[in-house]
Amino acid sequence: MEQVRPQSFARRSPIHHALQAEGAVFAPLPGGDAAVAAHYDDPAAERAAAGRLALADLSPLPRMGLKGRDTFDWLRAEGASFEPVPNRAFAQDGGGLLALLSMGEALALAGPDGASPLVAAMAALPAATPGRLAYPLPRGDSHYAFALAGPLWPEVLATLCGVDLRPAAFASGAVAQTSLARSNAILVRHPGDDDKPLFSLLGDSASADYIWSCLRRAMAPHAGRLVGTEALTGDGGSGTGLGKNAH
Amino acid sequence: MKLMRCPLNGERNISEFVCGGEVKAMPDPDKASDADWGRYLFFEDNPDGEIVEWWLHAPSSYWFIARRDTRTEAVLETMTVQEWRERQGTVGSGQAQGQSADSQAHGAQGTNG
Repeated sequence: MEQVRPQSFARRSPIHHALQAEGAVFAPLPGGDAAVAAHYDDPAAERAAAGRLALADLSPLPRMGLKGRDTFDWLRAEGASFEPVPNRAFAQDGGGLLALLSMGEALALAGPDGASPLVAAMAALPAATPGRLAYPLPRGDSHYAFALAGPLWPEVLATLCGVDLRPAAFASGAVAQTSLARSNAILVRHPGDDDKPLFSLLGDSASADYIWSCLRRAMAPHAGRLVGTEALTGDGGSGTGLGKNAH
Repeated sequence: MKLMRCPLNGERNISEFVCGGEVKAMPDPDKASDADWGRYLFFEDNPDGEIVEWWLHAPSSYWFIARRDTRTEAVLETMTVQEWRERQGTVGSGQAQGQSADSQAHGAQGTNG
């Protein structure tokens, strides 16, 4: 079977060269405009690592932001599930999650299979609508999106971030907008991940290579492993519940 | 590291923040002389003592107000723009002091909350 190359798609991860060098096997997303690193050379070991300490690139997955005074009104009208509390994330029906960054800004992330009705609805919004103070912010290319899975996350992130991210201080569904290795980042602990902790890390895509290398170095003493999206969705095994959490 | 409390994000390392300068009244752009406008843009009082300033939490692009002591570098308190306006008694007036804070360059970038 012919290998899927990220370069064959209009959109690609800012670190696709690094993933290729690591031997990632890519699979196209349902939308057909990008390919994601689905697994590396040992899918079974990757699924096991996702329950301990693992790093995945989710950058090609869809995501959108919405900002403005009427943001929450628009989200309610769309049937989004949330409470109006800044710096919290909420799982959404139909896939993906919604992170509230302030009382007037939200960020919607698709699940690892690319599904998120909310992202699609935001993407369909016009840049401005008369009478509504809520405008869409394309985040698909502006931000990298990495996933850090497994209970050893405090050991890794403590070396890169000043915020106390230990479980007692940073529960499921918590969001921190802070500095990760001196680079601005959004840290989202997925809601309902108590059994299998999972973080989404987002930041400026121009810093993706740098942050990826920082995370890899921070993981090394704890034997963390690179994994593809299949290890997070649990496809074919006992992977951590990114799919479950995000859906 | 020194800590500062962001009204939206809580206590964070001071390295996550950027000072946006003193809170000061913006002269009417249609009526101000070039000298007054230049003074507004480029000059600050820089007092020896307590000062009220705009601060930005950079990772979240969140602007807020801080009271600080320039002699000790101590941050006395931080508050949202709304809280500061309520303290000034200018909520909803849209004029005078209320407008002076809200219509500054920093305010125009939005306060996110």
